[in-house]
Amino acid sequence: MKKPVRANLYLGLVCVLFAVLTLTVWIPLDVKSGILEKVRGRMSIGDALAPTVAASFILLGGFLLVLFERKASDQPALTLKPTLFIGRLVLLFAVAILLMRLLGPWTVAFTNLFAAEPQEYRLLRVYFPWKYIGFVSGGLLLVAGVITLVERRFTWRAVLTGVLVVMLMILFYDLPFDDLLLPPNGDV
Amino acid sequence: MRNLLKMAATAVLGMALTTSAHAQDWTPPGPIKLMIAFAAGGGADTQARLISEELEARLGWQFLPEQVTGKGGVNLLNAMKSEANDGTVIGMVVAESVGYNLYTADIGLSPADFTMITTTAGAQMGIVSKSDKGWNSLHDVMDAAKAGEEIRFGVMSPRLGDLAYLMGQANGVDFNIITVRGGRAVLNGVNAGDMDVGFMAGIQGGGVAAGDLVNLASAMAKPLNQTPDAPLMSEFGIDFDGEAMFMFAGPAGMPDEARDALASAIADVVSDENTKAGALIKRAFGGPLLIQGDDLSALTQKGFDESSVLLEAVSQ
Repeated sequence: MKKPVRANLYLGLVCVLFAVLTLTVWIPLDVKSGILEKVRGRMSIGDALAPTVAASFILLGGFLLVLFERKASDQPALTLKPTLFIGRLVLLFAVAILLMRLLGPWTVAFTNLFAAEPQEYRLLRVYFPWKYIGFVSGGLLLVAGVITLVERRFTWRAVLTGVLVVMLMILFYDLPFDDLLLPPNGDV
Repeated sequence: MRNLLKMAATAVLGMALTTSAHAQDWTPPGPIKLMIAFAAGGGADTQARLISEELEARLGWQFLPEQVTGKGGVNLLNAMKSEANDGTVIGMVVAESVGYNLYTADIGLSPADFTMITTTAGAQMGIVSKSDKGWNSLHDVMDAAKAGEEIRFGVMSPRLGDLAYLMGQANGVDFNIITVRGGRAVLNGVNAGDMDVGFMAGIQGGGVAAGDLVNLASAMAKPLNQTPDAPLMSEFGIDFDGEAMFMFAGPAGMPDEARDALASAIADVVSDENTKAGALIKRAFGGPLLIQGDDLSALTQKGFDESSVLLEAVSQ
C-alpha cells in the first residue's frame, strides 16, 4: 500500500508553530510598543502591528494547510534524497562561514604561541596576509564545495574555479579600495 | 597669595602639558573602526568621512568607516557597546542618540555605557516655513492656528515631535505633526507645501538667505546665527533645547589618553577651515562646537535624565 504524502501537513504544522511562537514569545519579548499606542494624545500604529499581522497570516496559512490541504493530491512528496541534499548544502555553508570567520583569528592565536608579543587578529585584519586567510579558505571551500555537491564528484576543476572566483573577488572588491573590508573582517 | 597663585597656575599648566603629552603619545594599536549612524552620502556621513580622511593624512591613522544606521543612533550604540574600548572603535552620532533616543529605546543602556569623546558641531535648529506663507515669526503661526487654520508641522525625530506637541499644548493649539526621515525630507515637505512649518537643522540656511524660507523661531536655547531676532522656543513655553550636536563616542572604559588624543585630533581638524571637514562645518554650522571630557559626559547624562521629564509631559 502506498504511503500517504503528508508534506502539506508538516509544512502547515511548522507554520502554525512558528506563528504561535512569534505571537506569544518573539513579539512580546522583542517589541516594546503595542499594536496600537497613544502618542502625543493621538492613537497611533505601534511597532508590534506589522509583525503581528504577518504572523497572523502565517498562522492562517498554516491552518489552511493542516485543515483543508492535508490530503491534497498534488502535494510534493518528501523523500530522503532531496532532504539529504539540502542538509549537506546547509552544512557546507555553515562550515565555510565558520572557516571564514575563525581561521584568521585561529592562525593568529597559533602564531602567538611562538611570538614574544601576542597579537590580536582584530588589529591585523587590514594587513596582508592576515586579511585574506578567512576569505580565501572559506570562499574556496564554499565555491568548490557547492560545485562538488552539485556534480556529485570531486574534481580539481572545481577547486581551480574556487581559486579563480576568490581571486576575482579580491581583485574587484579589495585591491581598489583602502577602507573596504572583505568578509569576515568587518565583523571582528 | 601671589606665590600661591603662581604655584597653582604652574600646577595647572603642568597637568595640562602632561595630559597633552600623553594624548600626543597615543597612537591607535590598529585600524580604527568608525561607525556612522547616518545614511551614506548625507551631510553627517560626509562630515565623519572628511574628518577621518584628514586624520589619516595628518597622523597616519587608518579608519574603516561603516554605516550602522537606524533608530536615531541607537542601533550604532547597541552595536558599539561591546566593541574594543582601546580607541580602535568610535562612532559618530548626535547628542540626542545618547540622550532621548537611548532612553526611549529602553534597552538597558545609558550614557555611562559609553565614553564621550567630543562634539564637532551644533546644528542651527530652527522652526522654518516658506516665506510666501506670510509669517514672520512663530507667533504668527500660533495666531493662525488659533484662528482655525490646520498647521502641519514637520519633524525628523520623535524628540522633536514631542517638542512640537508640547509647544502646541502650551499655546492651546493642536499641530498636525508629521514625522519624516531626516532634515532634507522636512525641507522638501515645506518647499512642496506638504508641511506648513518644520524643524530644520541648518539645511534651511540657503533658502533663508535667498528669501524663500523664514526662520520663525530658534529651536535652541540661544538665537540662530542667521536670524538672531527670531524668538526662542522658550518664549512659547518650552524649557527643552532642540539643538542637535554631532559627536563622537566610544565604548565605555576607553583609556583617558586614547579619548584625549582622539578628541584633540578631531578638534584640530574641525577647527581648521583649510581642511575639507573644517570648511564643511564652517559653511553648514557657522563653525565648530567643541565640548569634551567631563563636560560632554555631564551634558549627555543631562539629556538622558531629562528625557523622562519630557516623556512625562507629553503623556499628560
